[in-house]
Amino acid sequence: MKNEAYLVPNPATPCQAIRIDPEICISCYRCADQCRADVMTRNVPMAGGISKCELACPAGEPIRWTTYYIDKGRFSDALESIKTENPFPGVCGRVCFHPCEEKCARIPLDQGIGTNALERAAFDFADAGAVKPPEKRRTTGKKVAVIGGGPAGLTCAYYLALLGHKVTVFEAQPVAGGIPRVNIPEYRLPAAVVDREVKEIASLGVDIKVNSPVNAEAFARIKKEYDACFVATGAPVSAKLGVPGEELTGVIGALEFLRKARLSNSATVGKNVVVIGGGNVATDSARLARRLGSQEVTMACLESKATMPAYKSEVDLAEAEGIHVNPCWGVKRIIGQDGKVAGVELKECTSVLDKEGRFSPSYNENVSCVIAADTVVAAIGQMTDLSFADPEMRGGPRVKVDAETLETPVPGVYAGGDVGSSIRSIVQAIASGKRAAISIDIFLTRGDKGRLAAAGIAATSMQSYMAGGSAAPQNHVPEQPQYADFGPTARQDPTLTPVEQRVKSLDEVSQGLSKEEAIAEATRCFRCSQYEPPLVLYPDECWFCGTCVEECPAKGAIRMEHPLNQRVGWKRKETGELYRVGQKNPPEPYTVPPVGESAKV
Amino acid sequence: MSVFKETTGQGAPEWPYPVSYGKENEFSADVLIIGGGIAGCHAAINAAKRGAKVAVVEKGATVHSGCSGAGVDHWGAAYGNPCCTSDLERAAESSANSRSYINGMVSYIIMRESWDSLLDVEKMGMKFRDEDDEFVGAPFRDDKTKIMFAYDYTSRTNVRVRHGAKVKPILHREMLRLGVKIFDRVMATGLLTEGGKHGGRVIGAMGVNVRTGEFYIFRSKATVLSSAQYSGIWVFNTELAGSSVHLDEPNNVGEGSAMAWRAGAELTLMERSKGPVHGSFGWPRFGVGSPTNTWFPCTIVDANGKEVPWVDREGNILQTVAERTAHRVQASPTPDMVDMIARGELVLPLYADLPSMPEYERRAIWGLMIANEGKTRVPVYEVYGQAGFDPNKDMLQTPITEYEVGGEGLGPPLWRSASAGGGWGSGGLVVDWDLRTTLPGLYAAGNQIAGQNGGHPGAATTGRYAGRKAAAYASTVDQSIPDRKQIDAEKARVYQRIGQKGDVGWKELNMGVARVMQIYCGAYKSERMLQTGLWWLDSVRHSEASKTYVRNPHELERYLECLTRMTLSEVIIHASLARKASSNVLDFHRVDYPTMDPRDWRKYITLKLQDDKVVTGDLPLNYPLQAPFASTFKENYEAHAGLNDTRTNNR
Repeated sequence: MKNEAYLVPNPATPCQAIRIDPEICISCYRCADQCRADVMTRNVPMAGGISKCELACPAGEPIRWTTYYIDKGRFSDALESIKTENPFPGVCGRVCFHPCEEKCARIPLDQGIGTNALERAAFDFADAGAVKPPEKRRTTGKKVAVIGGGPAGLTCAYYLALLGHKVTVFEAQPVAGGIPRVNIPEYRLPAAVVDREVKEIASLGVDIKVNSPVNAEAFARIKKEYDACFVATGAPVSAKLGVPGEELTGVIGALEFLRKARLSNSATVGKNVVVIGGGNVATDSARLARRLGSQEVTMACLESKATMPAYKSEVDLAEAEGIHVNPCWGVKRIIGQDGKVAGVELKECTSVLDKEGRFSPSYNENVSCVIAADTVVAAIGQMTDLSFADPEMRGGPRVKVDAETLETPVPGVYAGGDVGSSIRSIVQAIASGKRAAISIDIFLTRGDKGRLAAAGIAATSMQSYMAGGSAAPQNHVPEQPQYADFGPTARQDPTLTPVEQRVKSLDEVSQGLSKEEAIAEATRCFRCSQYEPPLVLYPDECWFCGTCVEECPAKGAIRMEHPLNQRVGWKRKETGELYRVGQKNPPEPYTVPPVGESAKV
Repeated sequence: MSVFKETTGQGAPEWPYPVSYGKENEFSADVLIIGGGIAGCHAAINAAKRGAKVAVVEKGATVHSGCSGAGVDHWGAAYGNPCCTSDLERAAESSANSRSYINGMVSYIIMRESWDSLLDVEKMGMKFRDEDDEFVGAPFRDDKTKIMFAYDYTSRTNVRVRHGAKVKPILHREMLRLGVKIFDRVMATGLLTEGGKHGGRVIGAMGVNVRTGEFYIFRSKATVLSSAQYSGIWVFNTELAGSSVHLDEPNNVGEGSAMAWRAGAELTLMERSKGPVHGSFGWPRFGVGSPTNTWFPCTIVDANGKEVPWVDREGNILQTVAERTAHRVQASPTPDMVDMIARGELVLPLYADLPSMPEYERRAIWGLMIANEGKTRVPVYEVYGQAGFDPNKDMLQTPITEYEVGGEGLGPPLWRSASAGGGWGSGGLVVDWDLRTTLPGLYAAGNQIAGQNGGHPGAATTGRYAGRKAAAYASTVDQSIPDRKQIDAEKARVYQRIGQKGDVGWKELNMGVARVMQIYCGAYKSERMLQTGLWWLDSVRHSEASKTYVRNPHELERYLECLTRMTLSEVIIHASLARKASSNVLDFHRVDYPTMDPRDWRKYITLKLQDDKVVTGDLPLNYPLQAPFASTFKENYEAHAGLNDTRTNNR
């Protein structure tokens, strides 16, 4: 035989037809609508269905309602709908890392929905005056203190106020808003956006006290005067490099650097700026430095390009602005001259994590280089400040909290956001603020703890909780589009300022989507999983034309099976490796003895 | 998830669509197209382009319905293409002479317009040429035009269709763009005639929605029937789906022919109900439908690697792969293959030997043809590709059964001729040079036409043509009011089993009818057997068909299809009774009239219903070239084609 013949059975003798995988199926019913034989049909609404995007959102945003409203041009309604679960759509619409987008069921078809851009569009185009917060429920007479006026604290304050409690927020900085307001640069997130959302929270009667840091003494007083307390002081302290030369003039922690620019417009840079770090704070610092006038901005980080913690989009934007990104370097020392920074000596970093995945970098001291620098920004980490806290609250660098109730070991004291969590993102902070509000409300009203327990440690639903139910998200969603657009349709992406213009000012780089673009993008959403997967009614009428398999947007949801194929033949593992199933080797083909020979047998 | 319970007439499966039996919906159009397959889509597009208000009625979902619904891999008879070296007029004449019962007029139309219809679809978005230069250097590719050819690389009349998998969505999109109103999931069940009169001008049609059970009344000035051929007359077995039958589309039941028959139109060739005579059998089947030509010219080897010989039409062995695609050889695997297996000269199993093929052939067969032909794209290309099949290394096994020629093929010779009732040159409507049937206002396109043998381009071209002619006619008449009695009678017929108790499922009914045809209208017919068959069909009509349960609109659809098959079975039997001679050409055998193709029976026998009786007539085989028509195809075509007839809007 010229080639090895593998026993690959023929699909002409199938004995099975269609299989639907309910885990992958999004119930768009494209298969049922195109099947010529009614092998499968539409089905009944699903109780408790949740789309993959909503499942991925830590804050439990009602994404399908957002796309539904924007689809119909109802931006104000979209904004109001988002605020039932997240009071910061303006902030998130600009800087969230959108874990929802990676899970979009539309990805195998053409491109996922630009959910992040749609959230921004809701904020940008809603009539701010028309968006009303939900009716206040009652007045409980209870007083709650929130320590820290960032996304976690303010979210908690917002919902507690809606639940009828009297809330006071203590914010150390001169303005409330936390990292989004104090650190993230203007060209990514205009201060006006944050201020508007903070004002809407204040308008509920929340008393926001700025310039009010809380030390141990103040904390003790707060615990006496308030009925409950939410600690959300974040991680506002830049980690130290811990290398010689750190005290030289020209070395600054990234958070301080960003804050000076944001709050008092007083950040300065020299000609050669070196930013140490590979996260978003580092890219923010580097891109800010370019805008403050520095021509030579370099980033150096321990991680490789592929594993840098910063969003890939931020790294790409930084490089487009002329920033040099040097991965796999650690700092040996900062070189000074006359008390000022003159350069940075770097050493090669060979690995960042140890075998158990803990942070434990190793270096090759023999490989080093020196970069000229007159400014060094340390963006290697954010630290909490727990000096105010009771000893039993401290669990290493973080406040100890129960994962479900967010209660600390001190009764009546809850914590969330960066101070209580190793997972650090704005949306995670918002999610914890919302969870804490529910938890505190149950505590204050001696409510049923089971209502929160029902949500496990996944996203909570304030809408559901306020309606008197549990905090677990319910599947009350708008209608599915009758005839979804199955494309291929390109995703609408926001317009960006031309590259040459960007570093000339602090103006926003992204212009967002226009109204028309937002509506066009929203119509691409299938609003998945509101119905049960298709009913397979007449499998024996299946004709194996494959139209359902061909046209399914959620690849793998529907398969044409041929059991003979499954049992004997070739299969591929996920790694791509080929392996045989069924018979080990094809049986030896029989040979018919030549004429005359058969008598001898 | 709801649980599906199947018991005899009790415990209906949940039906998820809102049902309203009998509720009437009305719609008016200039041109009504019945059947949204290739012929119907081209008809709709060309009628709409001439300014007509068009409605399409389709039982399934037009975007992927019909024989080419899942894709097309090759486009034949493309004589107009710039690389073609064959002479159209000569080819038309020789084809008309050699396959006498094929309608030469229709073949001529196909040859004249096939290339143009392909260009139409290219403009709509189906980029069939080798635009990405994947096959530069291959002998089947013309470097200047980037057209790729199949089968005969010299005459170059058959074009390989890249992106053919999307032909239906592309046509569908074009129809929407032109404002055609598409009624998916509506099954046409009866024609409307002027004054409700039998044999009168056709003024529209009626139908039922197979999801909601609602009734539809379409008024139209002109109607195009394009619901393809009939099937499942002799063999009803859903197990056979996927065994590479010529059952190209399960929805092709023959509604159009049955409706036309009941309205009084003339049909012919109904006695020839079988698949095509390929001239060889034992073609390896690698998928559902008819993917035979899709695999051409792949080498086939047995279990020991011994090649199955390829021969030309004279029986000479072709030594090389290249020889198989030479000019006019009409190569095929040896017709002797099954006997060679029986004698032990070839050892089963057999395999398609893609790895041994020249690289461009291998890539063309697997990546171009198998990947676009609707019946192999998912079941073979996708399913095996995902299982790890590599055409560079692996060989695909083929089953061999003896009775594979155009038939469902599995089983004793009794129903060797079974399978498709029509298509491929078999029974359907009698048409003239306007593609008009014997009923004014009613046109036919695609496999609806008797003696039509053109496959995909056959449908596309006759669709184009009939669409033009229907639009032209529509501009000369007014809309008519349908006769209320005719509507009520049809509603009574359609809904007769709704709400009625019964203990016969539609599948049983279908099997029963098939059994009648197997026994009484099998491969060897006689007067007595045929008459008994008619008696049986009548008996089934009055008993089992009157006791069938229908639990939802889907089962209503299937029940009405059974009634259609019963009607067509009766017509087939009448046609068989009328032909009192045997015919080799038609593969028609009367044991009581054994003479093969006597001269005075070399003609079309026509049938129609008149005053509830079957009336037969005849037509000469070359009737399109006799009075009142001109004596050459060319003259007639140029007189009737209507290409220069541009009506109102140019869209």
